[in-house]
Amino acid sequence: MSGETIQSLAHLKEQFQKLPGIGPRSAERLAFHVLREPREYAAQLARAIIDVKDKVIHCTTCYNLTERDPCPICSNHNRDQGEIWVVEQPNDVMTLESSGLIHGVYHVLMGHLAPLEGVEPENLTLDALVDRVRAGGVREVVLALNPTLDGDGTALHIQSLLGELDVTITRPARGLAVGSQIEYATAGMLESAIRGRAPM
Amino acid sequence: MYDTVMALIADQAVVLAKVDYSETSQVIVFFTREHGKVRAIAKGIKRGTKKRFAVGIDLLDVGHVVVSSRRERGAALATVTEWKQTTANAGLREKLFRIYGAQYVVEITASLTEDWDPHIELFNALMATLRQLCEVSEPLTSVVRFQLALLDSIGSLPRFESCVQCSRREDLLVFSSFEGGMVCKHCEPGQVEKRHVSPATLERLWDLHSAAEGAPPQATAPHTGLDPTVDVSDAGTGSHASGRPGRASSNPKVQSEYVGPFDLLDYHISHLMGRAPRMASKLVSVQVRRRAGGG
Repeated sequence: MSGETIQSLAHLKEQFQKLPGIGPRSAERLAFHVLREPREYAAQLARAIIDVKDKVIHCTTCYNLTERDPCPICSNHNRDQGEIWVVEQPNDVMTLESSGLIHGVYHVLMGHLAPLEGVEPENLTLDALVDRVRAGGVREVVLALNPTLDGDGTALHIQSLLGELDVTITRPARGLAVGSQIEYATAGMLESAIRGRAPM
Repeated sequence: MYDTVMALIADQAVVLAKVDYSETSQVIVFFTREHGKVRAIAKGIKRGTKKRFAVGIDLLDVGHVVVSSRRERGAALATVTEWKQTTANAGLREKLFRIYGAQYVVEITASLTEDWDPHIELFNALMATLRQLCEVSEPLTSVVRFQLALLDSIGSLPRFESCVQCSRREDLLVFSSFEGGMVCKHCEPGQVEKRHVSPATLERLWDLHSAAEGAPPQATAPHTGLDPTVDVSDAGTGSHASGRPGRASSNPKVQSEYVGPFDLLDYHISHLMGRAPRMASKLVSVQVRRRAGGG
């Protein structure tokens, strides 16, 4: 068998292999898939990749991903601008929006504080959040951060930043997951659920 | 010969660190009671569907871990096969200074212990420190006690009661991390790496050290040769690797009986680690903010 390498195919495989979770075999499968499909499919794929790089920006108000600034949520006058949901990543906005229960607006921190990993306040959009609250009209800031140690540390840091301002700071309830069983709950889940029990 | 038999190891553990390995897996650094520091990969932990990990493993979690390892004392990465959180330590998450105190404690433990090298007393001290930090209104007391326990456990506890060069118990003036303890004013001129220590700091350290060893505090306290009413700043005079001066202690507002001992032990720990612990400045700055009326 010839040992000749098809340069363009090898290059495509190399590019796929750079994607997260894609190993050499998956990269090869994807490259052959593109090769088998019509030229128009390859053009659409290439266009979609270029479009996402060219068109997607961060909203200058909330830092969520958007194609226009301000984003549709920030510019929607039917949303409650006095209620800001603070989240770590744009993915969290999509998840919360899918609940259909949030009528306020968002603020994306673009991460969380992780001092042991060198992530400091200046690496997040904390100053912009403080400026938004300081500008007035904000009634409640909901710290919807991941309930991890770093998430909780970030929430406490924000609390200290906003402490002097006239705003209510809340966070979503935590504890037992709906649909789960108490038998399988961890000590942390149980402690949060017991401490945060609510009247019914 | 390489032993290929896989051993299952079950132990109590505290999570010292975690690093993303792939989209779904993480490498977790555990500090276990019977086996010391163990690095293990938790496959699929970020997917959230694995029953054995329930809701993931977080930094500072305390629980029961089962890992499979090719060799108990091998260098290879073990694999987490089971994890059950047993203690929530939820109080830690109520105050930023508690989180920073706990993170400092795990940072220095992770850095100054070796893999598969058990330190049962240190594990117990770590558990006790995390429990204490859940309730304290001032973290440095617990942190300083843990610094001493860690240094004692790894065999690097400095000598505070007498000069490391001439064993004189009087006129103790500077601390040398390289020499491993206090140096008197007669031996001090020959020291390149040194740091001035206030009488108050030295006496507090002596008390803490004596208390830890069960001796009556100040029963044989060393004589510093300085007026104990005069607070000599703990500013560094030598070539400390981190170049940090006597941070919080230079601010009279944040003077605390534990700031000096913390700073001095952190200086020694920085030398042992080869760098300053990241959480040290955080811990001190959050103290400053609290004392100034914030956080």
